[in-house]
Order: sequence, then structure tokens, then C-alpha cells
Amino acid sequence: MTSRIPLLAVFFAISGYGVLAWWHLSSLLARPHYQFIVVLPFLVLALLRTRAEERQPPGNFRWAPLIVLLLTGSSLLLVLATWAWSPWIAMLSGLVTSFCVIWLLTGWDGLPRWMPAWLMCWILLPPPFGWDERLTVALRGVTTRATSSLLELFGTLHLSYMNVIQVPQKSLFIADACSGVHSLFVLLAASLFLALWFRRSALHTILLLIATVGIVLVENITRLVVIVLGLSWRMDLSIGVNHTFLGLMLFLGSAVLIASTDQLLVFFLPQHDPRAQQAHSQTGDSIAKEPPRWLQLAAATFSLAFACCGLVQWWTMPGSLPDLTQSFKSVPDLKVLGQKGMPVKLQEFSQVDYSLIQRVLGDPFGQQSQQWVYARGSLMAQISIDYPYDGMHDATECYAETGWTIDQAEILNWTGASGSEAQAPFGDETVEPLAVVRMSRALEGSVLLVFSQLDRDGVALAGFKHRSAGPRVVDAQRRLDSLVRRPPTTQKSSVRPPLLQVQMLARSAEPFTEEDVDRLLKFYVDFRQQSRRQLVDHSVSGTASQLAATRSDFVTP
Amino acid sequence: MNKIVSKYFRRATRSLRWLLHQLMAWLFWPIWLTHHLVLKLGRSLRFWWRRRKLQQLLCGLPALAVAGTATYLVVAAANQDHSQIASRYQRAAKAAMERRDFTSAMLFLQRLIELQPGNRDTLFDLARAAENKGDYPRMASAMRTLAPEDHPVHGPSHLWQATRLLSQKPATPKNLKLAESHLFHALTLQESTAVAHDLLGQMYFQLGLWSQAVQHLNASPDRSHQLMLAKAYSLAGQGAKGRSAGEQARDYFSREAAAHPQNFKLRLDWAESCLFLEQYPEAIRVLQDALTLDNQPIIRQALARCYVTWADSLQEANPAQRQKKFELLAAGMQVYPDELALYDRLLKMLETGEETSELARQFLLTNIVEGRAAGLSHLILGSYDYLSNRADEARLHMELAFESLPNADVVANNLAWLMIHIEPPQAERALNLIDPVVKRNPTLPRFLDTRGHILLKLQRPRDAVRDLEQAVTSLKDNASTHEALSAAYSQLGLRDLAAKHLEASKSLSENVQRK
Repeated sequence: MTSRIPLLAVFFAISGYGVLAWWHLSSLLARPHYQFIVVLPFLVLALLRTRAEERQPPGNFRWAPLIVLLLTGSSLLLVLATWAWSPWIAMLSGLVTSFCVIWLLTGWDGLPRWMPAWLMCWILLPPPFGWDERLTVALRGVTTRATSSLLELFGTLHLSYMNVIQVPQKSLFIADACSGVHSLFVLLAASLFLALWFRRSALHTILLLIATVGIVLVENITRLVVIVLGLSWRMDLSIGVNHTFLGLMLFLGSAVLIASTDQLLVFFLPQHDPRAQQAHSQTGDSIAKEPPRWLQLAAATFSLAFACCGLVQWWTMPGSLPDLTQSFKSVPDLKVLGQKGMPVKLQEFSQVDYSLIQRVLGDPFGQQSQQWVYARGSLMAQISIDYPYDGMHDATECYAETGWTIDQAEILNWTGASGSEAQAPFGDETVEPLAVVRMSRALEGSVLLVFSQLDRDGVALAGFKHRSAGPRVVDAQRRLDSLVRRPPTTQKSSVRPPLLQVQMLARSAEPFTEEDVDRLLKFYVDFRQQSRRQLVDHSVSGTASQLAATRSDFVTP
Repeated sequence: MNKIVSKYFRRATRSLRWLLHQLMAWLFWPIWLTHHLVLKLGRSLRFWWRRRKLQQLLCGLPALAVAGTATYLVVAAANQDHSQIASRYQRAAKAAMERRDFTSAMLFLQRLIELQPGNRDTLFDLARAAENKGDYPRMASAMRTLAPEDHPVHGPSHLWQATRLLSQKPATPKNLKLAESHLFHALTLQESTAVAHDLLGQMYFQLGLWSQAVQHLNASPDRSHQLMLAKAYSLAGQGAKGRSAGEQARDYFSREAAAHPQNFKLRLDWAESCLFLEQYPEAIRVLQDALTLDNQPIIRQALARCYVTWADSLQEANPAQRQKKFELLAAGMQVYPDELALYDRLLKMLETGEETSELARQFLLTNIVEGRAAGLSHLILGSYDYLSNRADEARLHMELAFESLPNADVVANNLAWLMIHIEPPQAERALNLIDPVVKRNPTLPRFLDTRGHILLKLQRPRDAVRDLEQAVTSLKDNASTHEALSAAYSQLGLRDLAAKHLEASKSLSENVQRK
């Protein structure tokens, strides 16, 4: 029976978790700060290799009921994950099941060899309830404030608000990449690997992980301070190769600092010889050499349950399996239209300015923006084509992070062609969504924001990410719901990335009247039509009405 | 019995000992714990001392150095003096405003507002920087906070709003009302009251509200408005006070002109004060002195106007006065021949048909012969010939005037007018002549009226109506404008309007004939 257990384990893994694990990996790889997981198999192999000499025959199968309890729990989690289509819960269940499988293979005596590799695998499980997102926001806030204080100390005149640091030469938005969230997760994983590789104590590992957070903060504050100081020396390190080089240097510096911190901790924390401990443990009496018979039968029963879950997952899977390599594929370049790419007069507005803005990869305002400014009397409309986006994008988030208060947000379904020479892509009956937002900021007054995205087929999409303005309990409830609620993925599967965003920020010296808003919306729709005609290939002849936006289209778990 | 007693005694002793032991344990457990911890710590330290490796500490030095630096920077940053930071931003904002770098100025001012929330002066500076940068929405947003219409908040902002409203063209009643309320708010706040009084005085003066203008101009400490005050007094029927204020103005400007000899504007104001006091020779002397210092056209024009004003003040009852009048106008023509008022007065003099009429005619002809102000002389003679129904001579003079003064708007206007009133009419050429003139003076009703007539001749009634309607708002008493409008509306098929204008034209003509 023991010899069949590895087969069972493989069967569990493939049949019970295959589909959901694939989806989980796909969603992890879609997020830049988790893409380092591609090196996980090598790390696991390296850790197993360091413990190769500790290989010993299976033994010590005490506390079998605990394993049954764990198996029961993980199978229930898998059922829940299958029912709610939650890859995250499936991954949690998978990690618990893998522990049980290892136990069945080696008993408690074999765990020291497997445990580091198993612990390393926990990096596959991101924090639940969007805590990583909250961490990102918190890191951005801390980084911005600390950078601002340091710049004051160095006498560099600047303005900082929310996640923006503005100097006379440039306005720097602290994007995810700059907030440290990318390097934080990578460096935390590196610290964990370092601690496991060198068999550091639990206290040492925890202190090293805490120090890593501090090091990452120092790294990112340094990056921003250097960029700002560079700007005052007419050296733009905020984009391009310079930015990448600076990031790489600082990342390497952080890695060196982690190694240095590890040595410092080794110096201060007395280190016991793990081999002596191992020898001590070996003197203990090992009892059973294989798991109890009833437990083996129970495991076999669980394997059937997992197999059933796997079948159900395959059956109820929304769409086809996602492409794991999608995030690594290069994005096609967008044609630069230039100042004359858009009409000098559009609707009742006249073009007054044009600029091409380049940003860092992953910037929420888009890596590239082609921006035109149109005016009509006291109305001023700054309209841009931002590119690229992997999926639907809620522009209000970017503005909220730069200090704007969202006063009112709604999705309008615009029917038919906009007027003038614009042609609707799907005929006059087309209903296309656009997000209309009224927002305000101290010293800026009220503005009107209109945005929507166009996919590669020219289909327009617009939506808002759920934002809870209520108490934390409500927020937690919503996040819990999102964890177990099946997302409406049928719509997602119809969208062909990369998307471009057409975004208009309108301002006026006088409060907006209804006529102003109507005029601006017509102008926006006309502009969107013009950009669609020039930038998108019409290869699809379907209707866009099936893609009418909803408020819950892209809630992240 | 003894055995039983000793047994119980032993038990009691044991219990007592146990109790005492427990009591001691409870009483001394902190000492025991401390002792235990000290021992443990000692063992740990001994263990650490045996196993420590200096090499590891050396490897950890970079981390220690970074941690130390970070701690120092955190402490230093936390203990920065905010008032010093604020003054640094204040200086930077001021410097940026001075070098007209409004983007930087706005940035520094916004930071200053963050550091000193509620500082209205900074917000006001931000609004001004935004205006200069062309960021009107932001400027309006700041101004809505600083200078609301319904209650006073920040004096300089109310003044600024009032100034903006007053400088808008055309001045609408709504804007004037708003400006007035902002100025009153500034007075309520007792900030910049002098400027507020000044602005209110000027506004009331422009509106013809003389007594209110007097009240505010009197409250203004700015002596440069003394002349306006004098005029306001005079127009309000307080001649004596007006004269007194006029004298004060004259003295003020004479003093200032002496102190600043190169400032010709002061001399112009001084001359104007003299004119107000009807001290014409004094005014002419002041301007002639100014001309010797700086031969600017504006001074020459002022001098020509001075001659015209003096000439206008003379009675035409006796020939000596008429002679004097002609001499003054001739002197004006010598100084600044392009002054339209001279053209107007000389033409009138020619029309009178009295002895000075011939004198004027001879003077103009001499001018042409001697090549002095030939253009204007041709214009006056041409206009006179046209009014005397000598179209051919008029045309010749006008053509010659246009050759001499191709950029003179009046010449082009009169020639264009003549072109459509000769036989055969040359409307196309007339339009070519008048179009640049209207382009240069898009609001002058005289030129619009001429172009309206020309367009009517060209059978373009819709365009003609556009010009004539604009012209008639200022030329309400001009019969020919109403007549042209009537013809235009008639061509457009609007008979009611055509009839109304025809009626107005007839009534105006009858009034003229009656006079």
C-alpha cells in the first residue's frame, strides 16, 4: 500500500487541483509583482538538494488523526473552491494536502528534509482579501511621505500629495513599480530562501523578513530621492534605460543589504548546530515505519473525492484554460498620431496643444499617453489615448490615488453615432459605454472625467472597480464575498487585450452646466470614434451591446 | 494517645511547612524569576561570546551603516523647523513670480498652502499665478473661495475680482454690479481701502454718477485722480469745489512734472488740468515744453487738441474771434495734421461761407502748395467739394488725399463713401477701400455704416444689415443709416422692419430740415 501512496499523491495533485491551480498561476503571473514565481521550481529543487544528505527511511507516523483532520479540512476547502470557483482557496487546500501527502510518504522523520521546500511553496499564496493591494497603497503612502521629508531635509523644493511628487521639472507619480511592491515580494521570497537555505532559526527568519521590509522601503525612498535630485541636475532617471539601470542597481544593493543583515543577525543571535539537534532527535524512539492501514484507506477515499472535484472543475470551467505566457508576450506598439493626427476643430472645440508622454512600465496612467488639449471658451478638455492595458481599467483609482475625491460616478450607455463625420463601428444601433465621473480636489475645483477603453477589435468597455466607502466591516464582507463569488468571466474572455484608454479631463472656470456636459460628451464620443478609426483594426463585426459595462466586472479576489 | 498526638502533630507540622513553603514561593517568585533569567542570559551571553565571529560583524557593517544613516535621517527629518521650510517656499515662490515662471510658482505656493493652511494671501498669489499661466479653472476655484459674491472674505481678492470685471469689454450692467459689490466687500474688510475708493470713484465717474464719484474720489488718497474729482465736482454742479480741486490737480501735476521731467504723462495731465481751468496759454506752454523734451506724437496730438479746445471756447460772433479761431486751428494743423477734430472744425469753417471760410480755403491750398499736411488739406477740400455738390473736384481731392495718406482711416472711409455716390458708382473699389479700415476698427460705427451702404449697393442686403444694425446703435440720429437699413430689409422681404426704419429716417430728416 505504501508504494502506491506517491501515485495517489500525483493523482490528487493533477486531478483535484490541476484546473484551479492553472487559473491561480495565470492570475499570479498577470500581476508583475508575482512573476518571480517562475523561479520557484528551481528554489524548491535547490532546497531539496541541500537536505539530500538528511534522507532517511520513513518513520514516526504518530498523530495520524491530525493528518485525517487536515485532509478533511483541505478536501472541504477544495469543494468550496470548486463550487465558488476560487483558485486562491484551491491553492490553500493544495498546500495543506501536499503537507499530508509528504507526511504519508515520509512520516514525521522525513519532514525536516521536505519542510523548507514546502514552506517556500507558500509564496504561491498571496495575502487574501486584497491585503497585498492594501500593502501596496500603504507602501506608496509611506514612500511618498518619507521621500518628501527627505527632500525637505536636502532643501529640494517640491510638492507632494497622495502618491505624487512634483518638482518644477516634472510630476512623478509613484506607480506600483516605484512603490516597492515589486521588489518587496521578490526580496521577501529571497530572504525566506536565504533563511531556509542556511537553516536559520525561526526568530532569525522572522527578524530577517522584518528587516527586508525596511530595506525595501529604504531602496524605494532612495530611488525617488535620486530621481528628484537627478532632475534638478537635468538628468531624467524616471524613464527609459536610466530608470531600469537605477532600479537594477538599487535592487542589487538591497540584495547585498539583506545578505549583510543576515550576517549581522548571525553575529548577534547565537546559532545552535542543527546537525547536533538532528542527532539528538535521532536518538528518540521511532515507532511505526509506515502509516496505519486505516489511514491509507482514508487517503484512498479522499483521492476519489479530489478526483471528483477535478472533474467538476473541468466541467464548469469558464471558457478555456488561460494562457500562462500571456503576461510575458510583448505588447504591439501603438501608432503615434501626432498633433495633426486629430482634427484642429472637433465638434465645437479647437485644438490648442499636444504632447506625447512616456512613463514607466506598469504605470496606471499607461506607459504611453498621446495627449491633446481642446478648448471652447472657458471649457478646457484634456483628452488622451493611454496605452497599454491588459484589461478593463478604472481610471478613478488613479485619480483617487493622486488626491482627487470622487463625487459622482456613473456609466452611460451612449446610443448611436456621435454626430459630425463620426461613424459608429457597429452601425447606428450600437450602445457603447462610457464612464462619467465628477470629482474635485482642494485648490483645483471640480472637473469632469470621462473614460472608456477600446480593445483590439474596437469594442468599447467602461467600468468601475468596487470601492467601499462604508465601514471596515462592510469592506471586509465585500472582500469575503469576492473570495467565494464566481466572477462573470464570460465577458472577460471576450475582451482582446491590449486595450487602449481614451480619457478626457474637462475643466471650466465656471461650474459645469448641463449643456457643457452634453457638449463635452459629444466631443468625447467623436474623439473616440476618430481614434478607433485610426488605431483599431475592425476585424470583428459583432455588436458591442453584449459588452455593456457593469460595476462588478473586474473585482480582484 | 501519645502516638495519636504525635501523629497529628507531625501532620500539622508538615502542613505548616508546606504552607510556609508556598508562601515563600509566592513571596519570592519575582526574585526567583529574575535569578533564573539572569542565569539564562548569562548562559546565552557565554554561548554567544564563545560562538561570535568578528567576520560576521564585518559582513553586517553595511546593514548597520544603512540602518544608522536611515535612523539619523528619520530623526533629522522629523525635527525640521516648519516655519523655516515655509519661508524657503515663500522666497522661492516670490522669485518664480518675478521671473514669470508661473509653473514653479504655483507648485511652491501649493506647498506653502499645505504648510500654512488657511493663509489667504498665499491662495491669492496662487490664483494670480494660475491666471498668468492660463489655468483659469484653478484661478476661478481659488477666487470662489477668496472672493465670493455674497460676503467679504479677502480684501485684495475682492479688489482683484472687481478690477477684472471692470476691465472686461463691453462692460455689462451685471459685471458693473458685481464689481461694485466686490469693492464694497473690500471696503468692509478695511483692506486696500484707497484702491477700492479709487476704483469705485472711477466706476461711478464712467457711469455718470457724479455725486457718488465725488464721495469715493474724495476718500482716495491718490492725488493723481484729483483732476477726475474736479471734473466730477463740476459735472455735479459744484463749480467752486471743482475749480479748487482742479487747481490742486494742476499744482500736484506741476510739482510731479518738475520732480520727474522725463515723465511726459505728468505733463499731459498738467496740461489737461490747465485746460479744465480754461488756462489755455498755460496748457499750450506746458505741452510745448514737453515737446522740447520729448518729441512724441502723443504730445503733438494733445497740443493739437488743446488748440481745438481753445478754438471751441471762442465765440464766433465777431470777425476778430473767428480770425483767432482760424489761427488756432491752423496752429493745431501745423503741430499734428492728422487730428480728426481739426478736420471737423476746418470743414465746418469752410461751410460757414464767412470771411474765414475763404481764409481757410486759402490756407489749405497754401498747405498743398508748400507740401505741408497735403493729405489732410486734400481731404478737407474734397469733403467740402462733395458737400458743395462738386463731385468731380471732390473725387480728385479725395484721390490725392488717399495717395498722400493711404493708411488714414478717415480718408479711405470718405473716398469709399464718395465712390458709391458718384456716377457710375464704384462699389467694388469702395469695398476694397473700406474693408481694411473696418478690420482695423471693428467697432467704429462710422466705418461700419459706410461698409453697410457699400454692401447694399453690391446687392448683399444680409451682410449690409449686419454692419448697419451694429452702426445704428451708436448712430441713432443718422437718417441715412435708417434709410439704408430700410432698403436692406426691404430687399430681404422684411417689410415691417423696412417700414419702421423708413419712418425713422423720414422723421430724422424732417427734424434736420426744421432745425
